[in-house]
Amino acid sequence: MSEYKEIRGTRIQRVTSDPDSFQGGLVWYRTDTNQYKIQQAVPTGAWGSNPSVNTGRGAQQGSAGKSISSAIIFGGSTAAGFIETLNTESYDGTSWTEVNDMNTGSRNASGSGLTTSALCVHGEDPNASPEYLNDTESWNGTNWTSVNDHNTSSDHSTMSSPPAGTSTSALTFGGNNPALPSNYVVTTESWNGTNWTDTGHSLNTGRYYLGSSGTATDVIAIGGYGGSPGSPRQKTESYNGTTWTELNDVGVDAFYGHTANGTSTNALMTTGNPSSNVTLSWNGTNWTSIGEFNIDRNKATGAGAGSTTGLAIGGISPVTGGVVSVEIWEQPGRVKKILE
Amino acid sequence: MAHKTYQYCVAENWGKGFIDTYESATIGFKSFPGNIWRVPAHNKAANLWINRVLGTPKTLVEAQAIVDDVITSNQSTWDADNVEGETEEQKIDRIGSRPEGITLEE
Repeated sequence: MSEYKEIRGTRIQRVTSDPDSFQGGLVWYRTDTNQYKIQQAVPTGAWGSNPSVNTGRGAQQGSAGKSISSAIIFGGSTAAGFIETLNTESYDGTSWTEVNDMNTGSRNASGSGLTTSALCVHGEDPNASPEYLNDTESWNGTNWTSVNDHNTSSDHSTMSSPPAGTSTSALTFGGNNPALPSNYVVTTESWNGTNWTDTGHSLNTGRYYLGSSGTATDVIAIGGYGGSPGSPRQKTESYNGTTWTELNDVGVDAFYGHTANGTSTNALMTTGNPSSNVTLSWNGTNWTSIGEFNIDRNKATGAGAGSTTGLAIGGISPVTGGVVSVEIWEQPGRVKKILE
Repeated sequence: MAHKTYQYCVAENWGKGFIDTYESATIGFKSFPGNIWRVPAHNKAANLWINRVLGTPKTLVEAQAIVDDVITSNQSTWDADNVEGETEEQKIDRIGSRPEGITLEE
């Protein structure tokens, strides 16, 4: 039997960190964790399991994070209906920790930011009057504080994900409110750190259950649902700060999904439809179907920086309610696996 | 003998490392209520994964029974959760739709 040294021309290296470059078949020994590891080529990206949250919930956009090693999840519903939670959890790359609660409970809120600076516009509370909310809360890394209200009351809207957090900049668009004549929201609102302002720039296709990726002045609106009775909207639109422009369609019914907080030209989107869990990547021009979750869910929330890595956090199972599992998306060809 | 496409096991998802990305890309997983996992039958990588996660293999009938138990329990909970004067539509809005049955494939 051939030995590793004869094949690779070198002995197995003893190191304290994983190599950055990809060399298929390379084996190394981590002296800090006492593990042999190997790099394997994976033909496509895929979802693997990651540390679970403590409270399973579907929050859709109720999360924040631009990386796979730092994220928070807040609020949402722990069942397919409305079993609200005020719970906030923070992820440090190793585990999820409960931190201070939100002040208001709602389902299908919109939110984004970072673990140190996040924003949430509340969605719906069927026990409240009015049922559709416009309360906004701001997270400073320690506490949630009520700040000035959003102008439009709705649920299932979406929020941009500025890389520097939401303390001075955020954008919301779309949403659902049956009290509106059209049922759905077309308006775009901008946050300057103090107030929400209606930009006067409307989506070409009003919708809710939609996703987003990008900043307040460079963002895309992804898929969604609209009309009465509602039907899927496969539209993609981009916003440059002044105008919404229609781009190539998603190609599948994409709603109830989450975004991986990428950019307007590099994003990961999971559909989350009750009957489908397709993962799609966006290169700025076209959407491509690239995989599926290991655990079906809808209204999961996401964190990440683009199409190569991302977290899908929690969600709702129509059978068992709140999902605690978290899955991590890793890019093709660069998987570092622990040898058993 | 009928050709078997899938095999089933019971395994508890402990989080990171339970399914690694390589396994996810090369095996093909689907989860069901009751910690039931479906992977391809007659597949070395799938067999190794079941062994690695200390999964307990289940026949189709056994796996179906576990899934049915969970769904039946959740359906009973749903049926018993009523508010006086509430319509079906309002109930679905409050607690979601009644859990539907799932039929596992051979």
